[in-house]
Amino acid sequence: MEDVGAVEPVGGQPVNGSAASTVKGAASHDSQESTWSKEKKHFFILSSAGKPVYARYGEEADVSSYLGVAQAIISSFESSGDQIRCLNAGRHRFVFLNRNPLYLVVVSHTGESEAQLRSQLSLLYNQLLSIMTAPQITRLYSKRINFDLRRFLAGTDNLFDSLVDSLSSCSSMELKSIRCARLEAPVRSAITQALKSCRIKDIRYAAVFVNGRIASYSQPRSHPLHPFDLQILSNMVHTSTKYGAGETWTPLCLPRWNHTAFVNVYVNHLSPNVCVVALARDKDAFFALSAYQTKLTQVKSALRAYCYACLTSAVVASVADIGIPGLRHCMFRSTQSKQIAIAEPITYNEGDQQRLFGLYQHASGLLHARSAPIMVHYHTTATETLMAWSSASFELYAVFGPFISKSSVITAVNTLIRWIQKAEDALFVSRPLLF
Amino acid sequence: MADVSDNTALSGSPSVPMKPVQVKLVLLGEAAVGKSSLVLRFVNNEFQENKEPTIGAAFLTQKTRVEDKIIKFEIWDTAGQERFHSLAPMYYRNAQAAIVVYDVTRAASLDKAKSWVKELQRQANPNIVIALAGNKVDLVSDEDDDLHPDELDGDEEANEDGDDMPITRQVPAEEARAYADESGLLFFETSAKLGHGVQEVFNEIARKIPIDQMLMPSRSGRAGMPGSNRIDLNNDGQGIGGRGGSCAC
Repeated sequence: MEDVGAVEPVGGQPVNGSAASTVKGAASHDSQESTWSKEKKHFFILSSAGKPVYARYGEEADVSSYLGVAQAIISSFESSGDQIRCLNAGRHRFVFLNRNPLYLVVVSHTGESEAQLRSQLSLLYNQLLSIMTAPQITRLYSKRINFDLRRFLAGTDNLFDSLVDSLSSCSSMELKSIRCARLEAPVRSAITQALKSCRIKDIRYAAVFVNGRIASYSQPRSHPLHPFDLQILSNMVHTSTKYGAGETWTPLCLPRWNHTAFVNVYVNHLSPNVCVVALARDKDAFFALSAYQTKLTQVKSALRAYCYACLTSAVVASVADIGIPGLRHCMFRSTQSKQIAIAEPITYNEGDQQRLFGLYQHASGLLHARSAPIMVHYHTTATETLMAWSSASFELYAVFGPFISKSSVITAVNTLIRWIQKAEDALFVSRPLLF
Repeated sequence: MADVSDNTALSGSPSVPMKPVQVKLVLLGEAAVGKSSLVLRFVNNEFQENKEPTIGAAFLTQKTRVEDKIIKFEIWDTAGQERFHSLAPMYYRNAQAAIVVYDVTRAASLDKAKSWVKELQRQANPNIVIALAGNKVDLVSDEDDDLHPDELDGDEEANEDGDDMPITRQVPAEEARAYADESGLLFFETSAKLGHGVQEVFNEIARKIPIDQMLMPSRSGRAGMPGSNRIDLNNDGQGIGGRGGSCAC
């Protein structure tokens, strides 16, 4: 308790300095307090001096004293040459990720495992690194240990918030994979062709997103983009200004590609639903991207036509399309391409989806367990039966009603796999443009 | 070029279509003063409450007719956040016009605007036309206002987000105008929300642009990023991180 008391002024400091910061105003403190603490899952980033960098919920005044405590706990372990990784308190699990000079903390009572929460923290850290490179961060803090990073992160709250929200609602993040737009094969290959026809030397990577999901992409064979980096890109596309037919140029660091430098990202929203993303990393990227822009104008109308076609041709796969009796929901991940297809649940409301997400979380935790991962998981609850199956080339999760027999589940899963293999080109970007 | 004679000769017959004159324009100013909102109002004639911040820079175009000329503005709407500061030269270096925006309810944003003006006058194209725009006048409409005192009635809804803190004008129009006159800038007070003064800024800039510069032969394709090698990105290849000593990052 002494430690905590000693640290509180440190945590309290930023409150005084908050006038200049961009953290959401401190209006109606009490009502905020009651709502923010009700959230099931909290993500925090703080500096090793205990200064808040990011919090998903709560005003700075609400969280800073807690962050002071967190800082005290972490540093007391650190000073004895140890690191705190996880702390379980009742229903709450606290997971820590130490990326000196920054600490990341997640507090959750969603029942997710330590490993799952930790991998979410590293996704959050990646998001931070996409805005400021690790060397930049180190340099800033080496000058002044109690540096306030938020000034540099101004305006990026929505990037973090959108990532955190998808971490709590979307399984593809969890499985470190890419969710593709479902497109009829000819439409997809037309998009790939369009990417090919406007390819220029300096563009290292280009992709077309439809409704925030990837429709096709081109990339060098030797340097494929890591799913983590793609995640950052797609998060940026997702949150970027809906400028009508606008274009943006943004410097971004893709930590898995090169964690010390920025690449230039060109984003062009052809329509509110369709957007083209291109990356150039050279110092003359500006010219490269504008040349790309010119080329793109030439194929734009074609691209637009295709994209409209794909918007009208079922973009999401629903369970009804698959037509397997008893199947309520399914999720399929291709291990090699790291792409994932998730059916749209038809009869599920929000609460059901949350429960489903919980089931998937639990199952994927078992399939990906570091020690003794399992191959097949069969689980019946009062409301659902879930079967999860992991093989060398894929992972499959399928959900049925609670009263279905085991043998019908097996039959259905086999049928499902055949269906997926047949629909592969529509579900996944199976033939991206490689060069 | 041929356009010169065209433009003057055709002034009496506007029915003949003319080639639009391209003008590269850059918007600069502190974060959250309403740069993107001004552009959105000008380009799409719309306004979004609580618009998300621009990251990097956005590119938009809009044609406008001024007297006998058609001007095609190629607008670079830059991000106001400090970490993007070092990218700004890339956008303003070949610009023929700049709008430096501040927020009339935040005195500090005028200081930032002044420093942008200084930077432009030092480093940008010497003939650049600079306009200073004091945005968000709709928030202070009840005060004495020399713009459109009778039209600004949107204050009630505008004050909603500021619950307990009344929004007051921190930059008197006279003060900003005096500064603009002294520095040779065009000056406007605007409300992107209500659309006041926005078209006027762009029109006035279009009138002010010297015609010989507009018809510079070097402009083939996109203004600002043509073959001319004036944009020098070679001083540091490491992206925004290393560039420019002004930024501590």
